Amino acid sequence: MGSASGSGEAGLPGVEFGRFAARVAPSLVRSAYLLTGDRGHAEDLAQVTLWRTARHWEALSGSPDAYAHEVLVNLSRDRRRSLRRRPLEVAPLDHVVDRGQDDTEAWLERNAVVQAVRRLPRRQREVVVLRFFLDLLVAQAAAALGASEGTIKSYTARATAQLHVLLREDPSAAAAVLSEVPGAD
Amino acid sequence: MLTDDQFIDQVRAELHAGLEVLKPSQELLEAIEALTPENDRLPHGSVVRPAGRNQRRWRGRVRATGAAISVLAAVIVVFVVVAVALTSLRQHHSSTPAAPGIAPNNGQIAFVGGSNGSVTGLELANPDGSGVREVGAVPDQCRGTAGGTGTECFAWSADGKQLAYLAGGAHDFTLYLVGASGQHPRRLSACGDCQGVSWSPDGSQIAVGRYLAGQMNVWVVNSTTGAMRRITSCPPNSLGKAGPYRLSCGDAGDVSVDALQWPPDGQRIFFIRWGVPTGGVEAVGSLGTVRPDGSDQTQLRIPGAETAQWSPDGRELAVDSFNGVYVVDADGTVRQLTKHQNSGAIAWSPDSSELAIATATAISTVHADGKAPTHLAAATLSARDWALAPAWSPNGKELVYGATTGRIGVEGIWTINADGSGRRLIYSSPRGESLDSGPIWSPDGTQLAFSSNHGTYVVNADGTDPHRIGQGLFGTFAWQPIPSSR
Repeated sequence: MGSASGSGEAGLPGVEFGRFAARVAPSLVRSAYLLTGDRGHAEDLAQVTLWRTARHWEALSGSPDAYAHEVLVNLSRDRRRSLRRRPLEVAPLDHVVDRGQDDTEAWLERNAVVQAVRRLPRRQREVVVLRFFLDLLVAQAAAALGASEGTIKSYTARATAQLHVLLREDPSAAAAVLSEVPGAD
Repeated sequence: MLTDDQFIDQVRAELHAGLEVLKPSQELLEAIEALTPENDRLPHGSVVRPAGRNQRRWRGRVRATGAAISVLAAVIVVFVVVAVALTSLRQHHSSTPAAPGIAPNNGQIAFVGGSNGSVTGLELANPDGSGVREVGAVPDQCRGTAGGTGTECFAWSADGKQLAYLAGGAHDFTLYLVGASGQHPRRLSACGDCQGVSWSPDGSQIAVGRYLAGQMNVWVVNSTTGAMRRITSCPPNSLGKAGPYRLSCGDAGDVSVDALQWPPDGQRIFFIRWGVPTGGVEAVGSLGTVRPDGSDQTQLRIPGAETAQWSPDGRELAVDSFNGVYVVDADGTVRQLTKHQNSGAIAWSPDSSELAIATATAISTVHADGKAPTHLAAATLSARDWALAPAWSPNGKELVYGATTGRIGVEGIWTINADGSGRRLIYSSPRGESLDSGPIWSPDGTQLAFSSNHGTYVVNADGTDPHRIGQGLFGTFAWQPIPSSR
């Protein structure tokens, strides 16, 4: 992927990038949601990730997914900092509320596992997104986060333990998980 | 009872099932389509959507009536055609090899972005857009996605003679120094996982936030030798009681030190230590100050603090919080100046006597002694406006700020006299452009710089000659100081 054959004119990405973007867009949006906890931000991060991937498409011989994952994580970190420096987001009063959107967000907010992941500390959350949601290998997650494999294993273990605790604490946790958590009442 | 592997499998299945409902919006799919060779050529009018703050506004805009869109489209098409033509001319001009040099009166602008198809990185340019040259690659974290005047990965020294910047990748950054020519950068220190760059007023030291051995702390770097020294320590459980997160300064997660600021008198470095408190979700800030030698580390207890700014005379620290604006005196006394909710940004006047405050509904000024605020532009802003950070002109007579214009899909930048008179729209964005960082004044007060999702721009203070000096999505920038002694 990302070979010259997949490029459009003037060195810009072409049809091959389009296929790549269509394939990864859902997982990028969902990963970004887990990282940021905000659907709008998730869409933004997914878009910027794809934009940057497009810009570097020629150089990404064989591993655009890995590049996109790394960019997404970095953008989510940058996002947290930039949000702290700028005006709060306030929903315009005259906006029409999209019913479907409401339902989606309500669904996400009710999902105990999703919410538990969102409550994890940043580094643990990143590892969970990469390893449990994007199904990356330890080495791939290490490359995406710029960390050692040992660090990834360590954070994976800590995140798993943390999820045990969070899901046990949350009375609305999904029954399928809650009932099987070791030590759960 | 499940084993860990079984538990992980269940979590994995729940995540995939739970997030299945979250699908890319039509807007994102359209943006993907826009990333084609044909659409990617146009710098203006692109449907590549801005990130962050403007998300909800953008959604609102596309729900406008077809009639309104048609009328606006006709106007915007004319504007875009003119803008693209002007931009093309300017890009052609700046593509002409220009000898790197310092503009005679108004300094250089350092910014992150791309130019003429070059790789995105830290670049320098004259305010007229000429002499663009790349200084070096910068970490992804410094390229910005949106918001703020985020120059946290690069900063000019107070005398404008040196630019310090972080370069590298994978949280293994190196701190470099380069002169205003942008040539021959000097490697100063292997910084590792650093963020924030703030010069001491005398240029002898640089403060950075550095993550090392499981702790994020403030360090100072000798700008001559490159020697690094840690000056803060980690108060145990400063952000919450011990619990599942155990967040203090450790490596448990979302802890960072940023917003470093060194006041003009050089006496105390201000920083914010961020972390997720026990049981919480969103990061909260803990404000601290410390002397450059590492002594007298203090913590300011101001609820909901978001950012802060030293007064130019270095005597007071203004803190913007969810509950309003606070001022901290030199002796540590905290007093609440205003009770604005959701303040957006604050800016000290050059003489340290007033603060400009941007909220979701107004731009106002307030005296540091607490006199009633003076509303400058309340009448023309509405609840759907997000004013960009205001900035005072160097002589303190005017302010500049950005906000939506009230017209669908159009944002603007205004100047206004400090007494509220003489409000003037000096830049109106074409549809599809979303203002981001800035605006800021040039050192001599004759020009303004700002960035948008289309790049970094300079415009004369009277609104004439708007031009782009560099492309780039939400680029951050910093204008070289030109001390009066020069």
